[in-house]
Amino acid sequence: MKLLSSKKRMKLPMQLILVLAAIIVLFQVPKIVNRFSVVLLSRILFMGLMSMSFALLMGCGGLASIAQGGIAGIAAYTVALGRVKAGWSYGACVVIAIVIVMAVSALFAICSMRVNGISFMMMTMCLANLINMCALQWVDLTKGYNGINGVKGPKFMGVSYSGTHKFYYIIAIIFPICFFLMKRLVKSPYGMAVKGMRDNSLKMDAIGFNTKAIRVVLFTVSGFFTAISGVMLTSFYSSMGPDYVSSKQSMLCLFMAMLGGIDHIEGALIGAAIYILLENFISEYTIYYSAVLGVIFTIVVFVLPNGILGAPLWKVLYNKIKDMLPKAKKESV
Amino acid sequence: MNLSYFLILLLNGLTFAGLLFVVASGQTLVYGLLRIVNMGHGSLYTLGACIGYFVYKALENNWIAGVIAGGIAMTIIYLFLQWGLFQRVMSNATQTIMVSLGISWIVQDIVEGITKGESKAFNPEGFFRLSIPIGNMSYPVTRLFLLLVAIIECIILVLIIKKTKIGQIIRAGVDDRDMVSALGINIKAVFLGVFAFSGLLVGMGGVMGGTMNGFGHLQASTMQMYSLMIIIVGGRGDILGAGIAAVVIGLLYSFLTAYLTNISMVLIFAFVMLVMIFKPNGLFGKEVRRS
Repeated sequence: MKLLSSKKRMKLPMQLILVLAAIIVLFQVPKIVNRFSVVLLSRILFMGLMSMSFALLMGCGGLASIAQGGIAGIAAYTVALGRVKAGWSYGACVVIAIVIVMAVSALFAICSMRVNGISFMMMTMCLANLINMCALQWVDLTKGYNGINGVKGPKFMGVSYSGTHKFYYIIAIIFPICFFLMKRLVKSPYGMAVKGMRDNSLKMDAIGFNTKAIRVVLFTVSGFFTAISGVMLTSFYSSMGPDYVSSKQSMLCLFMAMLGGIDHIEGALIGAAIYILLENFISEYTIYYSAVLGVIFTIVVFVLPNGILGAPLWKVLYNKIKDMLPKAKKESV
Repeated sequence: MNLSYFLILLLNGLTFAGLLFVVASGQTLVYGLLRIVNMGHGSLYTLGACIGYFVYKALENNWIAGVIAGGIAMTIIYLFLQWGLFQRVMSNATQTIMVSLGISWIVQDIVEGITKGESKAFNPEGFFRLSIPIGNMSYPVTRLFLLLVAIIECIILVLIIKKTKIGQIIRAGVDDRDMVSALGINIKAVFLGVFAFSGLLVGMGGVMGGTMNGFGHLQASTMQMYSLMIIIVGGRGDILGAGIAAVVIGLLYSFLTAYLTNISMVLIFAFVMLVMIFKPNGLFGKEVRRS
């Protein structure tokens, strides 16, 4: 694994311009395509954010947490309960949800400090199931299978952004910003330290890094992004039920991130897009779409073990373009 | 508190523990030796129940034939899974998890297709239809038979692992499989055997569990959860540990669902989490070498 990328990094203003461009493009989408595609796109965006937060943990830190669905569920339930039962304002709900999720993530990171590898995966799975069972069995709070309905979105300048079509605009603003923050985080010195911890935690300790603190912070930061995706989820559907915190949701994050390529953050987004589009396409023809997806998934694991972005094809293409470029330079000189 | 009610709860817990042990003991060996977390175990359990159900129906409600057929069919399927899929990705833990996840989705849909989304149950005839009176209630023989099978299996497994040559190889493999294969032992064949053995157990467990609780595609995730919990609590590759873990979780399940229905599962998971926090290698696990 290359620790320092040889490619030149983009400057901050350029990145900000790109983020702005992405927001503008996303805002234009509903004018071009039909409403259902917008629903799909917003699902891709918030599920992509959820699995990107997983990729941040797994790809950078080597911590395979399959509790992302559950952690997002905590945020989603907090917002849903705050909006419907307590009647707080949307902003307050979001802040409280993010704080709670970050606290839970940090606590879990401290508790799971001694566990690594597959055991860590099982522990996170346990957490995901614990949250799922809370959602199912704590009927007084979460209303069990019935779920919580009628979660209203935020209100800006007299326009209420609730429901799938209005809330898309909020997702379109928040998602590029989160993406930008994550990319910055991965490329920052802290991101480098995280990668070092993944590759050899003992050496990083010996150099003088506090790997325990790095781990807790990584978990908390990933929890922050997961919380945002959870908030998006509940506001998008205007409801919250135990299905969205089931262990399948957490497995989907793993699936999407692995499909796209775990070494890249943006791979998770590509994986999410492919999964949701495929799911939609296949379920038109058969109700057993998850079997078809399972077959595809198993084939992908064998054919592209590093995911789509990790495929050798891109490297070959990159090298070809690189070979062509110096020639062009020589001619110009 | 009524004594016979208490006794029934105790028996429920113990028989459930027996089922959990039958299903999870193979998997804990697989996890210990092959380092594969088989996420498809739960759905393959329901597939075993389905196959057993066909044979049971074809042979005019012959329950024992169903149990044996389920076991044999799953052994063959597990052999093919290990030989065709898992053997090729075993060096990478995440990939094995993903492959087994894919398998679990496929099998879950197959089971859903076979059962048409309903929950089915076995109604055995003859000896296995009997029930034993306890106080003013009665208790079915099949459950007690399951407990007996689990106990016999536990004794046999412990004896095999403690006393025989194969057990020696397995114990050594749990500690350091590279060293074992360096000693000239065909570790691939051992892996294949252990994996197929876990299939045998899961198939038999599927039919017996299907008699206890009924089976359907929804059972898959529940059984998956429980067998993972037993691996966690028992420690990897530890048969006796898995047995004790099964008894603890089975009793917890039975008594908590009876007395604290609303938070029973939450409490069980909280217990497992506590075990993971304070004893990351399981309640009885020894310190495992990092690899």
